[in-house]
Amino acid sequence: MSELRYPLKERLHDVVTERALQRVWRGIDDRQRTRAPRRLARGLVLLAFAALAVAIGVVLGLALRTREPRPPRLADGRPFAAVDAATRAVIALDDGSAIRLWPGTRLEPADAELGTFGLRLARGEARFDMRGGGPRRWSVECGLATVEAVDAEFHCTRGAGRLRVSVERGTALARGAAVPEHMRWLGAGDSLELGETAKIE
Amino acid sequence: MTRPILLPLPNAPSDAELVARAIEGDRFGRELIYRRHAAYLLEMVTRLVASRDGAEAIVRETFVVAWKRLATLTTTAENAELRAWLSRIAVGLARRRLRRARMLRFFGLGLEPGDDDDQDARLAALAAVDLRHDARQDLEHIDRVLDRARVEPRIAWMLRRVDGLTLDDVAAVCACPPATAERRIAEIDARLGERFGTPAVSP
Repeated sequence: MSELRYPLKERLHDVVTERALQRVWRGIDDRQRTRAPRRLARGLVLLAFAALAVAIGVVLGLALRTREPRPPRLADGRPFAAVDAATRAVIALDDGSAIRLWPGTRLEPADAELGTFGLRLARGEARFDMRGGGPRRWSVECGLATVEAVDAEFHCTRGAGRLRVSVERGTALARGAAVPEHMRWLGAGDSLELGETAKIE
Repeated sequence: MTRPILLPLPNAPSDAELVARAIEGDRFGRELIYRRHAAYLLEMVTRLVASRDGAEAIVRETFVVAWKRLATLTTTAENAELRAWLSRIAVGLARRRLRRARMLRFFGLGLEPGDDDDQDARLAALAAVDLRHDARQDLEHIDRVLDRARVEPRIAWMLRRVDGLTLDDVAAVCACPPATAERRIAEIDARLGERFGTPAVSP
């Protein structure tokens, strides 16, 4: 057993000096004086972070916008416009897709949601050969039904009170009140005839 | 090494008066508060964190915090209450420093206790000049036990066994019930008892 007794500080030497006390007091004084500039600096740092966050948001927004699939244009770069085909014709698009039109066909651009290439087959017969892949969707209004596809080749024939859709490649979705159960998936080789009575082959 | 001797002044303003003056922005009032309590705090915190530089930083921060919160004190605060209030702030900051050091060591980012040049105020290093060799060895052992102890028991034990605070004062400074403070102190006593017997040194 040693000579140690509680409280131990009785057997320890003093650690506080006048110089240390003055040093601490000067430090407190300095902290008080620098508090305002530090607040200002903190505010500036926060402002810089906010500006950086806004800049990142703008850049990301622009990047996402430019990555959004845009509708295809004609091969010469002009936007797609309504076509009345007097003879057989082929419309070549800039992404490699092609639309074949039979005589007497009218095909028009149609309103569609963002990322969708909207068309309206007003009359006649057309074959849509989609190329290029990607997430872009085509939507073709054909009167009794609207045909939607992402990467497919399909044929639509629209007559008076009658519509025939057949799919050569890929998968297409036919929607409309005249479609059995209002919606029908059509795979390669499938066809759908709509009129007063629908017929699926 | 010299220690400032503060003689009691006749008609010295009470802490309550100084607090009121300090709240109004009187620099003299603040300096008198500092002069009255800083030495006590610096002594206590130096031993708690075993570092002179660390203790100076903590006491400096203690008064910076105190000046901000001074208005929350009641103007009837007595001397002992102001000291206890300052002690609570200082011990809170010391606790944070000890926990941070422990966490850094846990992740291998800090030096082990005793290897650190900053640890220049461990109990053995503060031993009085005339202390015998066996007593110095005991202090070294206590240092090692405290290094391994959890932060809360370490603080409570040091306030009680090193600084000689009453159990109620330890509880007040540590912001815990007296029973909790007692349990924490007993935890370290038990570890020391393995070598010293119980109690390690006379209570």
